[in-house]
Amino acid sequence: MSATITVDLEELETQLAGDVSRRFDVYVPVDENGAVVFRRLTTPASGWLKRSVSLTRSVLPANKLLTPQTDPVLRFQGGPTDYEVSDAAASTDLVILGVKPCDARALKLLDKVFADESDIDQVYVERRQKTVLIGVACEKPEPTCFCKAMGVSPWSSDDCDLMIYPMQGLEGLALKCSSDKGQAFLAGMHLTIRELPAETSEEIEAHYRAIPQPLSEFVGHPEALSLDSFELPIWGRISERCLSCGLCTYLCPTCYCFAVVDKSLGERGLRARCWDSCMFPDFLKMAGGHNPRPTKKERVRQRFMHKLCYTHERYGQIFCVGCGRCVEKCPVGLHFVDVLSQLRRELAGGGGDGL
Amino acid sequence: MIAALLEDKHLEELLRARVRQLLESGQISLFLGYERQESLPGILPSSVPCIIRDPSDVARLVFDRVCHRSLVKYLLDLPTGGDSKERRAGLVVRGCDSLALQRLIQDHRVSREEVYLLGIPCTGMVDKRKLSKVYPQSPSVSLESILDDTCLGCDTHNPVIYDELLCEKVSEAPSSVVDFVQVRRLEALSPDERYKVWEAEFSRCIRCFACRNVCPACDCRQCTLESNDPGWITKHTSISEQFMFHFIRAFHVAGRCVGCGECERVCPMGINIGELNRKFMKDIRELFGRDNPKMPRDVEPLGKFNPDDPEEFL
Amino acid sequence: MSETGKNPLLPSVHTIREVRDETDVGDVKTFVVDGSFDYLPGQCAMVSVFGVGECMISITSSPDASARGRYLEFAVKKVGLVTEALHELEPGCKIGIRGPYGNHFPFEQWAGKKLLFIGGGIGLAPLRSLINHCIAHKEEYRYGPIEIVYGARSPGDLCFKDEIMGHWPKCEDTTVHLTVDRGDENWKGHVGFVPQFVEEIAPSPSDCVAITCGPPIMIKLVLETLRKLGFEDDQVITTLELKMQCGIGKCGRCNVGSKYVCKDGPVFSLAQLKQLPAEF
Repeated sequence: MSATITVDLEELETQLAGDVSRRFDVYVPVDENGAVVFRRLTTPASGWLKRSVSLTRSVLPANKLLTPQTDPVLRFQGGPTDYEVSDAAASTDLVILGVKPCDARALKLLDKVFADESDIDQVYVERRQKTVLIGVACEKPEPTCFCKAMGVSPWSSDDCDLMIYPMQGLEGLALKCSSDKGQAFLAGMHLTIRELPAETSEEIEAHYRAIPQPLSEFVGHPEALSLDSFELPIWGRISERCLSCGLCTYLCPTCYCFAVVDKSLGERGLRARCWDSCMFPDFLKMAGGHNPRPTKKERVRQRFMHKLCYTHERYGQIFCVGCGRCVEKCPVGLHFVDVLSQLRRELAGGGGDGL
Repeated sequence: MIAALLEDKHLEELLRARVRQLLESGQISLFLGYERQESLPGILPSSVPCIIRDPSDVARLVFDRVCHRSLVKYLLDLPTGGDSKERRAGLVVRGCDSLALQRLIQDHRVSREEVYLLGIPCTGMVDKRKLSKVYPQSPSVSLESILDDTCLGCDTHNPVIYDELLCEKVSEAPSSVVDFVQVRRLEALSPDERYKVWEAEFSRCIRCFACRNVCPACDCRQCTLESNDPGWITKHTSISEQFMFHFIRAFHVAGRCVGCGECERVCPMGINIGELNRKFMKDIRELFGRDNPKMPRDVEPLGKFNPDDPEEFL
Repeated sequence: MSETGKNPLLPSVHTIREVRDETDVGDVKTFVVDGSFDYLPGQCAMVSVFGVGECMISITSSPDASARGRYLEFAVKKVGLVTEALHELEPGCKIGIRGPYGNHFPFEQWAGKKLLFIGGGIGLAPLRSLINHCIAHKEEYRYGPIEIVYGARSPGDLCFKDEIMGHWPKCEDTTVHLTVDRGDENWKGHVGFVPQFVEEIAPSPSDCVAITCGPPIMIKLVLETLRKLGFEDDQVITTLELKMQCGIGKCGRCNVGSKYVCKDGPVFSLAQLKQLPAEF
């Protein structure tokens, strides 16, 4: 959209922690006992910006800040004959700094669910409009990263408002604006901006382009699954080692399922949207006891068919951005790459369509 | 080089041959073991649980130092009742696994007759995080430097129950290795400081239930955390609910934890869940004089109500 | 705070006007609540008891009656936590309602056709809205004769007795066939399961649409019976019941294949159902 620029790192840090933090809730990645998590910037120690942009991907995807684990819907008080109910859905002006391109792409996918279909979720849309996404190009991908295979470029500014390129050897911090919102946000900080010559901009891109991502090459470019795959025998076999925990879904930037749950404290209470997981045995169990997905086979199949087939049918996209979190964290290695590999072998053996 | 540290080809051959015999003779109908995951470029080798039903599949079986998960809880997935042969399963047990299995047996979740145990005296699994720092470049790495912390403090290398051992027993380190260093550090804090520590830990919890699902002491048929009547725990994740979740779990496994360390190993958020269990373990040792608080027994100190108990409640 | 009207999960608060016991054992109650909104037969609403939770319930009043009387009716069977809490409520109590959700029975497409309704137990609730609507608009859509087959476990379990025994049989060109699984000393009617009863009645498939709703096992057997009688897949309409949380196709709960039951359903033709993975 626009040229690559540089700004002074300390000046930007001061602005973000000062004036910007008064106008926005600013979230940045921090290292907490070895776990990278996004935290509200409150009283940062100097040098935080450099640390934040150098951190590896967060355990929880940045985009989950827009769909929090417990997201208030309404508050109520009183008894059955005189309830008072108030709207508790909230959206604030948000800056998320340090968003990895995979997580930014995930928001584009979630837009298809929450914002592009009829029955728009206005709370999500409003949050999306009020959020400035400051991405950071991937200097050092994890061995488990495979975003390139899923069509994400780890240096692309496309899905963010502003993009930081934390590469060494430049005077100042390289930045690129990729939306009007980003432009306005940048202008609002009144930083000293130096425009970089086109060749430097190309050098930066070449630098990021050259960073290898071996797992992406292994994964290739998966095609969507057809509905026929529902009946493959593989589901029973691969699901045997599943622990039925919700780790993969909660760490997945494109998983979005939620439950609506009431919590009452005496005469007062809160109804909230809460994350839920199709891996939990009771996810679909009805009050009468009927459960359409009674065993691990149906549940594991649902997770992978949903990402590789159903979302593709409905939204035209495979719901995986190659962030690699499930590859790293699934306690029993039942992750996207492993399942994809096994599916490919199964389909090749059965003469079915490739993936 | 590192690969050689991880593997024991001789043991693997023994294991495969024995499992083949057991399956072919019909002594077991399936075998719970480990298989090596497909090798992915740049990614640590990993062995994952698998179920072998066909003797011709035994070549898939491995036993190495990256067999992280315990297999015993998979027994609860197997069908019960009817033809009990269906549930006659063979499995690999290390020291910690055998304690975990004892737990399930004492809780009447698995019966000893249903399982055939191939015991493997174990000298430790490697820590994935430690391994990732040296893999695959470092030419010379000592095994000790990449072993899991729980394994370094292990005092039950040899299985306590088994039907046969696949190799010689190893010498046990004295149990004083379990020294509760971190527990003592937490005990020394003031209540307010301690609250802050746990508040920070629990606020990271995402309630994925991985810790509960791997835990051999979490073997209830219906978990109270999933009951909405009474709804002591909902899916809300306010800090009070987080405390409630971890306290309920800690109290449920108090005196029943076998110290396998699986909860901490699987937690994606790096929460020190195990310290709560170790605090209980230390108390049980000190208050009830149990030398080895991890060893499951018929009557657990906190598992029996004594009418003469000086405390009125519980 | 979001602006008014933006929160898609915010219900409006309605007062219960009347509560009617439908069955002898008291496991089904019809709640009449003040206030209405525009909807069509087959659509549902999320009904909530504050502090307990929400559940998706089909609207059983017909749109015409609802608009006239400014009320909504929900027939609720006691099966879980929320429905148990609802059953505790009396006239004057307040509940949350948001909706309407989902698609509706495609009654506009049945002009000139005979209508065969097959219901079991509480499954008559969504059909009741449709039946009353079809009876009221019989001339407009030039419907042929209307046949209603309805069954329950026992005479005491038959719902909407005023209509099944009073109002509907009196309507022009409308026949009601009742059956119970087990009769009692006062029951003079048919005894037997709904699918077999349909087979005995043997309605002709020509120019006919069959709409069925009831317990899953009944639906399964009714579909089998209709196939034997010669009904084509696109002549058979049913509704799916799945756990639902949001009602607007966002929460991922009622996902069957690429469809959301709450948004793309709950009404499907058998032909449509056969395109979905069998997971409901």
